Amino acid sequence: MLIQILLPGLLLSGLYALIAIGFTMIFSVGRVLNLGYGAFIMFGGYIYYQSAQILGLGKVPSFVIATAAGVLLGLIVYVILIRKLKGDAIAIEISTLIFAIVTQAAIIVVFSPSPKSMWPLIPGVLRVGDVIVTYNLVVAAVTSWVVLAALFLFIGKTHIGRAIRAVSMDPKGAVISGIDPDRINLIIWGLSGGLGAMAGIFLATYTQLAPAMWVAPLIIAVAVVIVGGIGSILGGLVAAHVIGMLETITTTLIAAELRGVATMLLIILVLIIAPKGLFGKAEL
Amino acid sequence: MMLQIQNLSVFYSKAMSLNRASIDVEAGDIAAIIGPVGAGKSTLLDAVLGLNDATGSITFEDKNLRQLPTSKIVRLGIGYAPERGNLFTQMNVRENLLVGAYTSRAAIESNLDLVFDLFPILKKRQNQEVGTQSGGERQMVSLGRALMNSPRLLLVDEPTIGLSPKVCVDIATALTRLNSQHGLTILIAEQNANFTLGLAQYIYLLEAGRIIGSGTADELRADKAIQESYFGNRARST
Repeated sequence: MLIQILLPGLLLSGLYALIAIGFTMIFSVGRVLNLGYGAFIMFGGYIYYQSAQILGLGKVPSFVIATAAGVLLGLIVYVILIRKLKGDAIAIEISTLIFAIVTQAAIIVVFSPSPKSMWPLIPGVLRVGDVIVTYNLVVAAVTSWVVLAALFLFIGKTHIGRAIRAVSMDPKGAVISGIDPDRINLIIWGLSGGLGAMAGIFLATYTQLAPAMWVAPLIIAVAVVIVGGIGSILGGLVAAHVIGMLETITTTLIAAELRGVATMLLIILVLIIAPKGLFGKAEL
Repeated sequence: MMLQIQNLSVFYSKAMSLNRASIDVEAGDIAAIIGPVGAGKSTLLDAVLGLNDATGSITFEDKNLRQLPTSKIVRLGIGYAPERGNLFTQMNVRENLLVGAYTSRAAIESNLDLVFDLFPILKKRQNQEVGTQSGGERQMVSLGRALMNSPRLLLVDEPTIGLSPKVCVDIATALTRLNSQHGLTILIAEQNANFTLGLAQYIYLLEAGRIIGSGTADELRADKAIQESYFGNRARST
């Protein structure tokens, strides 16, 4: 029984971490909730679908195209929306939510409102004892961890990465060190768009592609930020794994219909007991 | 003239924080602005870096700094150690210094050598998280970070605030060495007039946002009213 929970839970957690990281990064650096983050995920899924399943460009090229399209979308949203609303958190949150709704409408117009089945990245299943998990989820989780490890190396070891952390910790200190926060925010929004799109490909192949698919990952991302600690990417990664495990335990041991409920209850519990979350300080 | 500030005014909402302040800093000098808390010293230094909305003129080596973003002003060769430090408290000392080198990556090693030579304790504690350091060490990190972009002009805001006399001496020694051995031009904003008197070649007095006087340390010492207001008994005995 333990392995039936641990293995799928661990794999799902990896995917959740990838889903949440782009959202957490924007919040850490810009101190704004990008409520349109789910649209990056949805966009990535649909671009991959168009490229791989409609145009037949192959899975790897389609993966690269969808991720690049996500980067581009993140940059566009920052340049035409966020930069102009600089400093007004409420306006940014409302605008990004509207952006997600508009993106959903555009997706419906272009692709129709019906959900679409996605081919798995790698077909087949992995058997570990009595436990069966799809190769698709294994690939999604392993790729997520590799991407997250690369992201941590980038943030921890490079000048740009240090600049990102500096802006998140003390914007004035960063500015007087010669760092341009606008450029850092642009990089973060591009990264977030790419990571979101990548997560969207995995999520769509794990579940399905649908115009409303941006809502559930947004809730996961918000939960990860609250549970992990506002402003903490490390906390976010831990929280993603806690939430992934919690969902697996709930759906395996209690009822599949309760997916998401335990996460909501965890949010409330954390807000009451530890409002700053597991790693509630402004660090990356 | 390395830095020339003319008729600089800054408003915060409707309150005037600086009122047509003008100061000049010669290349190679240590200049100082002294004044009580709330006089507008930090506002003036912030204005040089373009951190607030100001009116008036600010030129650095004949380049107009107004309208330039802070990142470009820093790249021109101005380092800033602000009053609160604005350090990255969850990074260690070395990482803080490396952030300071963002615009001067080619000179990282030589600048690290300079900072560690000035403040040997930072070399010993370069892996310590800054948030766990003493106020004096943080001040050293703040100065060190400002030096990492190879500045020609260093702005230092309240370098002695809350520090022990021993650390104040260490800071004064470091600033003197930077000026005399490395030719760095320095502008200090400080309320501790006695600290400033021993360091600066030229001093401006700032009160309620206005420059109310200026002169060399000797000239200010000779002015009885200024002496009583700013330097107290210790200055009379020096």
